[in-house]
Amino acid sequence: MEKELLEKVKNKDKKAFEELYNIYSEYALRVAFAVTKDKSNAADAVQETFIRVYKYIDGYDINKPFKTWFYNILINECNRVLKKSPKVILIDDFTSTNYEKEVTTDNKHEDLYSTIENLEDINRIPIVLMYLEGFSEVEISNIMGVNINTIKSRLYKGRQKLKKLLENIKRGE
Amino acid sequence: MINNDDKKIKDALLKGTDEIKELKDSIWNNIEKEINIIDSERVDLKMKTKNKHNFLKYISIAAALVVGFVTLTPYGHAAIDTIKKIFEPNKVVEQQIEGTGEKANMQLSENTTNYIIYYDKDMYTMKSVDGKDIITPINKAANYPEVSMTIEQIADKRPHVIASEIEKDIKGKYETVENKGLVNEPIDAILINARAGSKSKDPVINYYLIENNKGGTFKVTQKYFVEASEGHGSRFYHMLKEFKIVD
Repeated sequence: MEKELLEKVKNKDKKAFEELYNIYSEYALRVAFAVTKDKSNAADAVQETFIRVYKYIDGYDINKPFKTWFYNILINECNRVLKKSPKVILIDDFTSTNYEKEVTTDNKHEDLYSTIENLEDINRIPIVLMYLEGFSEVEISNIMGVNINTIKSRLYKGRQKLKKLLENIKRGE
Repeated sequence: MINNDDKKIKDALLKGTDEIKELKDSIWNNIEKEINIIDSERVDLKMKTKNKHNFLKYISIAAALVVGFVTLTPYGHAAIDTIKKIFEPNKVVEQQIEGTGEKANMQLSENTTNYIIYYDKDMYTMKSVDGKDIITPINKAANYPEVSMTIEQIADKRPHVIASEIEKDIKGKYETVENKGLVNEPIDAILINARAGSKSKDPVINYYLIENNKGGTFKVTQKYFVEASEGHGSRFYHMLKEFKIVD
């Protein structure tokens, strides 16, 4: 089904491309937002990703998974906008890296999300790809162009930090 | 981590990123405008349309016009000065060599056709052989694999076509051959990376395939070896970062 759609996109069928956008854009936006932590940067990354898909779809091998190819472009675009953005450290961001703080049930989602946001890029991006889009470790390794063992270790470290917060939440419940 | 925790992480990510969904339609409007421009460019490649990322393309066109002017009129020397002002003759580039920051004084390439690049003339030399420009180190270590960066233009094949030809050609000759797809760094290109192994003297090869905006490709081939990845490999990377098409 998707193969048929992609063949049409390869033939520059705009309706098919819009359909592809409707299938992929929501989660692409979510992933880009979780990676860049900024709405306009996320929008920029997603916009450029789809334009690149349209421009370079000829180079995509229809027998390989589109989703991995697409997210490879998206993560590259996120990295590009992150490099462009001025490095600003907010006091709020700094204080919210304190994983040991008391957490109430009411704000547990927000605290868990802000903990994810405050993970280092190398830990956050694999976590976002795994939990939002359900990518496997191998797929994440292909998307990021990083060795599978490195991805496993980055995921492990990211999860450890989140687990610590979740344990605090449970204790507070 | 137990499944319940996995669910909580997923829920937190979904909730935390919910607000971005509202941008979906406005982004599509922008994309639609851009793809209409792309399609009109396809129809008539000579019709250059405005693109927010292509400021340099216009500078390049201006430079190319000046080059034409130089060769055809007696006002040559003054015009050359103009080009030098457009592309600085020297550039100090900060690069990571063997894990430490290093400032390299790079010079503008001379005699290259349709593109410019900067390279460190104290360390490298550039020569043209059969229509290819080859940058090699001045001091070559004996008994080590080739170190070079070759730039050539292939007029009638697009990057993805050349990428599949290269993949077919080198598969089996290297331990790993990886098509990394489109990369943005050091330049917008399709990247194919191949390695003969992981020992210090094992050859490494990178092919960067860059659209030449006329239906063809600039093929950049970097050759070095594992031990030189953070030396020559890193220097080639920074040289390529300064590559600009003059068309």
